[in-house]
Amino acid sequence: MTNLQSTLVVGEEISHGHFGRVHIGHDGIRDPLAVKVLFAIEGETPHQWSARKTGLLQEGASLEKARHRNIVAVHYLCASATDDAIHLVMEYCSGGSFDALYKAGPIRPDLVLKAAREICHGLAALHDRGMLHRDIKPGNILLDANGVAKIGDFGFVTDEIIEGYAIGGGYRDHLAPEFYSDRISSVRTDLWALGVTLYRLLHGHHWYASGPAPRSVVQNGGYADTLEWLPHIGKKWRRVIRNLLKDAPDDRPTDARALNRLLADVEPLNWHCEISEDRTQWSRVVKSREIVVTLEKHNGRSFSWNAVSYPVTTGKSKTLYASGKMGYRQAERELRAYFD
Amino acid sequence: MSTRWLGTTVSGDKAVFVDASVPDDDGPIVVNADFTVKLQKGDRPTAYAAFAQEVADYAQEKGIARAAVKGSAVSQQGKPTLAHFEAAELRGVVIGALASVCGTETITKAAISRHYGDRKADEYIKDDGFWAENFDGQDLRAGSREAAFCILAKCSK
Repeated sequence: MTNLQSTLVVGEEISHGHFGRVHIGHDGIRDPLAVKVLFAIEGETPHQWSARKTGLLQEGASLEKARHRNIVAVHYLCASATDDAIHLVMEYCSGGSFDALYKAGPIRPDLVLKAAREICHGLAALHDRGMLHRDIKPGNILLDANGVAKIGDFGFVTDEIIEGYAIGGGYRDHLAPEFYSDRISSVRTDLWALGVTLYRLLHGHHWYASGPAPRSVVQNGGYADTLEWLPHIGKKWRRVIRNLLKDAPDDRPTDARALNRLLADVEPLNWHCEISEDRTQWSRVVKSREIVVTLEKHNGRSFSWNAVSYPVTTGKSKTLYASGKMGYRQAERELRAYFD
Repeated sequence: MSTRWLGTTVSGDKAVFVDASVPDDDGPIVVNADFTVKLQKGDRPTAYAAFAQEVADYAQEKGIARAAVKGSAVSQQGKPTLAHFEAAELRGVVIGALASVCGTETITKAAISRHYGDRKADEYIKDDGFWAENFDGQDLRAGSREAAFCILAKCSK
């Protein structure tokens, strides 16, 4: 039989996770590609190497089974003739993951909303085909060249589901309360993880990290009530995320489609928010004016805020509102009323 | 054996969907799901894209074989307004999305009245006994009867 060789050329590393490193690749047909690579590790037993290879093969099979516009596509698997390497070749998402965006600060609510709805489409298909993702988080949501959000990293995906439940697992800060009590995963634990993800995307890493880590408080119950919200995150967003983070699984939306219908009611507002040590600033362009809202921290107890309208091209700026000094809670209440 | 149908009505910025299994032999139609999908607020093209994907994905993943959509009709009460045209746009989105996945037909209420039974469509829709006799499975919301009736009128039962 003809001894065929792959045209795949593996380039630089673009990310790495639990189950291997991802490199950029080229094969002359679908360039560029994302290539998840596994190499046999020195000292690893044949059994361990075989188990890791099987894991990657299963990941590829799950991606294929879940093929959908909002799930990263898998193309093929390559194995070395010497059995010391295996590569899973996938669609390359040039927009990267939401992880870097999230670390840079709060992401505009309208962009999060669009991604959330697209992820719901992908997640609904995944669930309909009898799988659970178990690792929904900012780093596993990717953007393609057209800005379409896709679910990636199927390393934790399982189809071993009995009566709607599988063995629990995933990123520790995204585990639902029932993981701690019963060590289980379900459609609704994926929705919980999506709830934490949406909260994180809307608030950015700095804000999220200033609160307690979910892993240390979720098992106490009432996690949703402990969340601090940025004032521009409206009532409907809060309601959706609180619903996703209900302690009792039955109180959460029944599935990703039900969640998508709730998201349809959320206003896609385009407030850009930047947080620094002593100032939080929001900006938004409305027709020919840019509205800039600033919350100043004078000291730990004293805050003030103002809203100013600037011309995008020519014209005069106009102060819409300027508050006196006040405590944070009052400033937050006033800002919420302003943004609502 | 049965065929999975989706009956749909569009009104304003939302659409009602009734997903039902129609048995090949005699017997009641079994309602699998009855739900409403609302158009996303804000920019309409983006909202239409999300709406179309939601509808097409549902039909694809649930194995819908045929769809019946209540068609547009000329308003009998005054001039058509922008809201009528926008609802018609949304109806087009639904029809296109379903037709990309399964056999899709439109039917107007007037056509249902002409071709189904010996009463007007609205009389059937108000008749609780008729619904209890012909439909089984999940409870049907009162506002969803029109969508279910589109199936009944098209499935030749």
